[in-house]
Amino acid sequence: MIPRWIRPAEEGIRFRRMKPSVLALLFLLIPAQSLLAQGGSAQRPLTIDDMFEIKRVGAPKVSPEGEWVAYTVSTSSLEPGKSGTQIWMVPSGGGEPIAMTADGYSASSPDWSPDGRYLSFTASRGDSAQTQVWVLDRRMGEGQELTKEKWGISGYEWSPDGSKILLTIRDPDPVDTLPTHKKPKVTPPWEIDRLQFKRDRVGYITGNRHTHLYVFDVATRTTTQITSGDYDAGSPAWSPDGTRVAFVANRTDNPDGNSNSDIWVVDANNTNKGADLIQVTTNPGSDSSPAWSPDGEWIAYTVLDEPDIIWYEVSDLAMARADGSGEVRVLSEGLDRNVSTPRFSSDGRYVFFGIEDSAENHVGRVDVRNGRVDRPIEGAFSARGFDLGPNDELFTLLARTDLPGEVFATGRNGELTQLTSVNEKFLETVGLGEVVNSTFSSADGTEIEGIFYLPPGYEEGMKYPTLLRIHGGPVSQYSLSFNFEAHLFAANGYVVVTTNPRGSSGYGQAFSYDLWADWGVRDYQDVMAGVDHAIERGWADPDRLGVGGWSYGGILTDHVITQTDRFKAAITGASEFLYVTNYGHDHYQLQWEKELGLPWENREAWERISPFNKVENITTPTLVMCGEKDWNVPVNNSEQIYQALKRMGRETELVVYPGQGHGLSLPYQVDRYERYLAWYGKYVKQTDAPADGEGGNR
Amino acid sequence: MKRLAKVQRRVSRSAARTKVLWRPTLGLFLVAAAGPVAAQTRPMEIEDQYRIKRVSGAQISPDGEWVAYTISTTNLEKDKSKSQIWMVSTQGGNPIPLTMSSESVGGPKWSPDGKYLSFTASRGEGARSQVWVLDRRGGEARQLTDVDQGVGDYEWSPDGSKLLLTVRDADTTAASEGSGEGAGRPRVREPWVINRLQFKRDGRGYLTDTRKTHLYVFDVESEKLTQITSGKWDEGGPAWSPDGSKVAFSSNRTEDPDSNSNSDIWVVSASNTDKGGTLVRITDYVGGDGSPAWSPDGKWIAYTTGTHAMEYDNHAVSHLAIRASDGSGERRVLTEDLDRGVGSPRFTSDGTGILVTVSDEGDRHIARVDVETGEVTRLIAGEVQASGFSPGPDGLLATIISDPQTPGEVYVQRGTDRTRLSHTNDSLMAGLDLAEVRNIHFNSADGTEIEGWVYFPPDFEDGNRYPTILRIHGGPAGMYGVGFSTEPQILAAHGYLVVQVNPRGSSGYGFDFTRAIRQKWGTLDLQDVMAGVDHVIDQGWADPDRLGVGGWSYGGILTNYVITKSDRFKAATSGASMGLMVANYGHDHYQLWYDREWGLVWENREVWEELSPFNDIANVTTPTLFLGGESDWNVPILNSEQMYQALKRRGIDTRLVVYPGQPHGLRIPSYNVHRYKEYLAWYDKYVKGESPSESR
Repeated sequence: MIPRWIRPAEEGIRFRRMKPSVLALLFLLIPAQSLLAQGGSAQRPLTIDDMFEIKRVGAPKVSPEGEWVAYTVSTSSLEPGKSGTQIWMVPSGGGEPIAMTADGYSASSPDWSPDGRYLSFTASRGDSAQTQVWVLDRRMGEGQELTKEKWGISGYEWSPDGSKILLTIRDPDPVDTLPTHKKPKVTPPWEIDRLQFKRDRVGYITGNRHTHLYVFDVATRTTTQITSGDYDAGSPAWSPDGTRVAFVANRTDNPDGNSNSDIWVVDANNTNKGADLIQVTTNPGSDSSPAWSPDGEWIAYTVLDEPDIIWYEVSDLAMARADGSGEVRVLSEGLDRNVSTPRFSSDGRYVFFGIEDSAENHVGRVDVRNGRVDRPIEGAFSARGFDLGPNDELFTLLARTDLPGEVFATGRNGELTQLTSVNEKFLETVGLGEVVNSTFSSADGTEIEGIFYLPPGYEEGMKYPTLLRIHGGPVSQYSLSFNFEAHLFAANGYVVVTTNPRGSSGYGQAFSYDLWADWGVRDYQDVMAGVDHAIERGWADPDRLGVGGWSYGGILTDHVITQTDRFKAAITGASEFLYVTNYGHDHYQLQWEKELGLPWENREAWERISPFNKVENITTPTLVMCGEKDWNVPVNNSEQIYQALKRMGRETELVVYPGQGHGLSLPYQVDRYERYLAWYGKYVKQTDAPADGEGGNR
Repeated sequence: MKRLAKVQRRVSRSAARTKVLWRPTLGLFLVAAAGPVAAQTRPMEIEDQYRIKRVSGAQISPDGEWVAYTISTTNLEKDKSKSQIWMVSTQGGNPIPLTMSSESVGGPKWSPDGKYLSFTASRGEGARSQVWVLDRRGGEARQLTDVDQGVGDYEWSPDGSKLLLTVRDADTTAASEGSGEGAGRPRVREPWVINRLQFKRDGRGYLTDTRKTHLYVFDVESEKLTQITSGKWDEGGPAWSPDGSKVAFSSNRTEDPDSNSNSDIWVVSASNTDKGGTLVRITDYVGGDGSPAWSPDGKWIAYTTGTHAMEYDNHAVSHLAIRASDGSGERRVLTEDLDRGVGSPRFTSDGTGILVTVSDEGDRHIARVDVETGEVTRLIAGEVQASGFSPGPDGLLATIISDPQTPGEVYVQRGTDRTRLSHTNDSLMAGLDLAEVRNIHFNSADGTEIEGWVYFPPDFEDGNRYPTILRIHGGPAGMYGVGFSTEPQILAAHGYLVVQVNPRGSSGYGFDFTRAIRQKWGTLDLQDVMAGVDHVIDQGWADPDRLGVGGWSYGGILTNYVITKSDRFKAATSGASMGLMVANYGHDHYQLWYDREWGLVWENREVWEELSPFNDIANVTTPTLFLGGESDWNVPILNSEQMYQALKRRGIDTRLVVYPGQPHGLRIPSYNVHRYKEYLAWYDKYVKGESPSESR
């Protein structure tokens, strides 16, 4: 039953076609790199170890006068002490980047003091083991520790005049506050009395620790707590005149029983720890990412106002009166695409924001007077994490299928210029295969989008072993950004099919909501249509197919192998199998209740979507994997699939990663890729040698 | 076979059998200390369970002069337990400590030639467990074995010249060696790569270790170590033949041991040099055969076995059987008529009888089974629990006996005379105001006679009604009985009347009684425990408006059935219990058990759902505390999380306590103390209606 309040979507699925604009000329679908790769002389294929060659660039931050752009560069390594994040800056008009922080420790969250004197960042280094705010004098010199908060900070924001810094600080673990001789010798038993009592990566949630806001006075080096109480305060934003702070908090009586969050405003100079708050939004769903208008009258924010349909809802952009009088204007009416990170233009006329659309990520702009939306940054790429210069010049992090994210600037005519080339050497050395972005029809005629990776050195007329890889979510999308995993499989001689089946984000609310309480039916059809498309295009060998994914990608893999035997191998990672076993054991008690009802009241809905109930159909050799302490999609699901398959005499193996949650640490990521290649190599390619030769590149 | 009387009507109060077992009066035990009998007593505290020293492993010397035994103590401050070996003369007198008090040691044994007292210990930094010996002429212990992997268990050869060792294969994986390879790389644990059908075990986690346990012969003189069994199976329970030429042992040598519960008795030459290439198979029953014991003439092997393996494996009664030691002939089951679980068979020295332990209606006895006639004679009988036995010369028997007022102590039996030799806890117990314990019999709703015990608060006054806790044992084929038990004593000391019954499913009352709940958990047994509650109300002891219930493992499971089917209780504590049965398949270690009893989930789902208390969670009104170990793979904590989440969501008072890193039985003493405090606080709040400040 689709609730009445779903906004009518356009006929069919709207895809962003390439606009004949200046932008399009710069970004062709077939990247120049791969043309070189076809000849493949000096270039080599991608390997697992390239995980440690590629550096990850963080979102740009423009200096107040607009001359420089700061950003982070992260490197990974298996060697202790060699992974880390450094802060760099590059001239906003282009030029040589400069490393601002040293290597050997991690520096994050770069920002600029409003008076232009400092480049600030967070780090835990030196005498203090806690994370503090550090500053670099822009004239010269090494970083100086600015804050000395006993329990460290998790975030910070400069006040508009630079005289203060807003700090986000979490209460300490009570055990940490005990003197050494009083610390318990064994881990205290967990005493649980909350409704939401577990979280992945955290484990059991006990006690009453909260996160609150504090104002640090730069001159006097004193800290004043400005919020308090039985809630967590997040996403703080100073009003332009520096007298108020907007923030996000769920202050309902039963926060574990809803997904509400509201925007509140507090006096930045209050001395009663935030006893008096102005409530700006009252929507029972979530209101977040507050951004002030330059005149301080309005707050723009993202809103989800249909909490009962949980993550299937598409977010909206809105603005509300900052004085709490309740007036709200929705700015993204009819857009029907997820929005993020709103920012007012300097004249207050526009709000810039991120748009997720049809395998791409754009930067949009809405005129607050008439609601018209245009897209200053739009194209066959993923632009996420923008910043505005003093004259609203746009800077963004941008990635393509052939380019891991780099910092780009937009010029006056909207042309994009690449400012950083952090991975230039990697891209020169490694030859990537061709990537094709196209659409195809599902069994019921629905148009589905896919991104297809061909092996480097692809030869027309040859049919290749092919892997269907499925994304997580379910409400997320494969996008035109650098997909390391897909390139790795392609480098090993596979055609890789990645699709955005129903349920995915980027195609409107109806497309996502289609999955409601009905997993593994139409999305199954859609991914299979992607496989068929690859076969029709002459790329894929229908007798050498494999399937797999992690999280929802594993879940849909489970549905796939209970409904077809076309695949020679399956790899299901962190997936679900018998849904009812997850209630109270994973961290989704609220979401399950919304989508499936309570298991003792509406058991039928839980059973209907459970692949376990069709376990006898599975004949595909299946590798099952999961993190031992994953409370997002717990390992008991994987244990059950494995036990059942083993009991039925099917080819199967279970791999559990010690101490890992839903995401794996680096050494285990390497191990996982090795096992992927070995399993697919054995059953799809039907070779025995996993590492060298035919088995492809490790 | 002893049949229980079935009476159609509920027996009236005056006719119901209630037997007083033990009153804690001062004159009933020997007081070793001189001086006036202590007049100041206090109620038992939670911590007292760790002040009580635990006596175990009594072993009589070959000359019958001494009994060696182990005393275990716990230091709550350090959260550690230790054990120490003592010996006491069979003539009586003060016990003598034999091992250092700072070490933890394994159970004592006497060498058959009378030269040594041996034990296992890990002494030294990073040392593995080895066999150590004390020369009976005096002096400190010396290390006898030096096996790299350590020694699991051991048995002296009949002439004392050799030891049979049970040793696990060495770990050949690089990860276990602290090698310099990969220097600079972060040490991460290897992922578990699982390929077995039985891939988990409580206390061990994932079973990816392919190391096996084999038998070795160690020559005491030459110190030579020879492996005498090998292969892809485990061997256990080894026993030397009386002439020392052969070894009998138990092993599951089927093609896929994970898919069955078979184990058979095998015999191998003790001097073989091909690591057990030639074995003689003695048994062929499809279920478990174990604990082999040789007749003195070497011609027969007595062992424990079962019947009805395929269907009732989970509810089996353990029987005594005998077969020719060359594997010829047929199995003779000697105790089927006895219909009580027996264990630890040992031939008498004249070979005409086999000594066994017998579990019987709350008692644990030692009996002799005549080899020829099968007649059973109880040597240690009555309302006692005897743990194990050690036969000496001239029919002497040493054992550990406890009763409701007395934790286990060493006893020696000559004929019909039983003498107590140790008084380890006398002074502590003298200072405690213990609960009186009465044995009760009553009829269940369908007329079946049920047995139980009631613990009375020390200040109990006839005519008053008391807040009452129904405690339920685990298993389900467990058995409450007359052994000293701290849990009900602590609850009673806190002012509660405690009811413990043996409902259907329990062991100790025969095969039919145990298997009555097969595929029917939470039905007949539920009836029986409720009848116990009704009985103590009828007797005028229990207040029907102040009732609590609880248990651990099957005790928690049945508690979950209770709260989903009854609202009579004001509070429940449900420990290591099951909620939604299907969630456990592949997640706990019972895949084989489920095959046998409930069928495969995808073939027999209705049975799994029928048995799940979670499905009736909407009925629960009782405030319930759930507890369990974080790493319990016997009854995983997932069950408690689900039950807790559902009650919390429904707005019923509930709480969940999880013990970090713990398996099915809590190993850390301070966690156990914490658990008792949780029990008492919960019961005090909801059964007695007290506020927290009063109770803690």
